[in-house]
Amino acid sequence: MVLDHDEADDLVQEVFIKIWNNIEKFREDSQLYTWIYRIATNECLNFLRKKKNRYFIPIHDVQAELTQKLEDSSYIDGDEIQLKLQKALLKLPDKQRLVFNMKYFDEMKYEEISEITDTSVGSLKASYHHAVKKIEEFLSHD
Amino acid sequence: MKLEDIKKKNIYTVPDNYFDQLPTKIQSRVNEKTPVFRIKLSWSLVFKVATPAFAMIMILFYFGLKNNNTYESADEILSQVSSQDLIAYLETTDITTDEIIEEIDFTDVELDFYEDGSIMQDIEMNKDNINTLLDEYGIDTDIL
Repeated sequence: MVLDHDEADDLVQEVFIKIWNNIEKFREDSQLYTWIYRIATNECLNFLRKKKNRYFIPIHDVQAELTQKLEDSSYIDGDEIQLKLQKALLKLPDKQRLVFNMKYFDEMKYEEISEITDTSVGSLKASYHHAVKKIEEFLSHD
Repeated sequence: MKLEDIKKKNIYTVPDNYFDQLPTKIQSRVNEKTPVFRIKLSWSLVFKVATPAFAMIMILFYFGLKNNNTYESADEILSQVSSQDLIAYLETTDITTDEIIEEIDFTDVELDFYEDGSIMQDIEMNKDNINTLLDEYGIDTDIL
């Protein structure tokens, strides 16, 4: 989601520290896996939101920065078309990109994503369907 | 080009031994303790600080009670703005429709979309019509 290895590393550490500090608040009304996943996705979306708001950076600049990271990062190992798919994903709003990653790459069920993101299954299906259309449109034209 | 034409692969990698070192890094951060400052208090110091502080609280409390001005919250102010004015304002900003949608809580909302992304509303269609549309757009019924 954040594309940069160092930023992803920071986020992973933050997530586990948050889990450690809040484990007593885990109410067991969901699976531990779901709870951890929810903390991680919230942390990630908050990070991206703060990045966009910081110094009043316009959204397209953050998008351009992330696209640049895709091209420059030494921790990316994919062919041209896979890189193009990742660039297409950057055109999506963050939450829609998150839903797409969970469904397409992590192959999670809509019910699981629903529990983690606190979004109805119907909305997730519509969001994923819409995302696929946008990605295919980008891949066909650019 | 279709998504199915692309080989599904996680292209992101990590440095060698990253996951071996991660627990140690996290543990060292968890163990970091914030320094505790101990201040030795004397009753005379407490008295010197507490008296003006108490006086200040009383003054603020007194003027706070006298001040009848009420401040409206952002929600109250926004509730007085008409939807048309809000739409007109949003149209003049750089905020995109996607960003607005991203902020909306869809928890209890079921939406269906047209191919171009616009929302279907109150459309009654029989099964044959729906199947014709699905065939026309090549939509796999398994994803619905």
